[in-house]
Amino acid sequence: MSISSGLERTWQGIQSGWRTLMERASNALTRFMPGEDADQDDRSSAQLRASSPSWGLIAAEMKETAKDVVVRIEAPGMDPDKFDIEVRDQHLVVRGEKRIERDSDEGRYHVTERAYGYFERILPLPAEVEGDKAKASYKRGVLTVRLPKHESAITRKISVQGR
Amino acid sequence: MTLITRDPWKLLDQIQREMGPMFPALRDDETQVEGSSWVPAVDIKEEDDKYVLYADIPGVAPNDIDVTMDKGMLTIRGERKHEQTTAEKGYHRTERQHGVFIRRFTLPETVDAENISATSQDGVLQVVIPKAAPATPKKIKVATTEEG
Repeated sequence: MSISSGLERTWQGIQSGWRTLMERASNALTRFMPGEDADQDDRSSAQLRASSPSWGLIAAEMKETAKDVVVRIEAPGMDPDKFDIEVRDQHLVVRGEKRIERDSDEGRYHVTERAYGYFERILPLPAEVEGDKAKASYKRGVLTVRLPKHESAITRKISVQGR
Repeated sequence: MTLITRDPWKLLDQIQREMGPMFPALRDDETQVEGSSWVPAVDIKEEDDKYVLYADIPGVAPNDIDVTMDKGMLTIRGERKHEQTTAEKGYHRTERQHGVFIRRFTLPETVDAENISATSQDGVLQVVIPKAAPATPKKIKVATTEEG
């Protein structure tokens, strides 16, 4: 086996492995953009921002019941008032921002795995919903959005009358 | 003949650089423990008088998180339980990982293990580990036995 064909095989292996990983994780994999407060960074926040990943996992869970669609999104450490949630063309759009806590400007980071900044996740909805009647709550870093289904999408059980 | 026009190692380097911080499994990481079904992302900051660890642990009740310190090793352990069973019908998307997580970090010996405190808010665990006061050098007198 020549070096070139060996490398070629390695390359193909990486490519297919990477594709599989991306397919499986791409939904939850979310890009974080620098927040608007980035210019006010002190020394340690700037270090954190520079070394933290620009991608994070925003895992979602979506469940459909007879009357509504319930979406749960893992978004720890966020200000609940800063979430921006809307329903557009049968998609749920959730935007938020993870801010760097500036409790002390001293210090230096040794491990930086958490992503900071703005993110946006768009989730296709399985049924037509009434966006203006949606309710959202935030508990233990999990955002729950309950979307009542539109009249036309509600499954009704029709009993067959015997005779 | 051109041996290679694309450099596979360059791609690997790039993946490592861009994605490495997100997936501790891609790194040579000793903080992971076997039996852990998911890995919470953490930040560790060192200040003059303390270390502060922040871990993203959304959807886990504070009662289900254990923080222990033993022989210079800080362990955070917990379990994300299903709010409802996902085995039931009607799920269109299940990206959330459930089960036990365990991570261990070796701390310098100079920490004050007695006064470690942990709080949890909005799915973020914060552990404050005070540094031990620097030991004052102890002077040991060399006894001499003067022998005539």
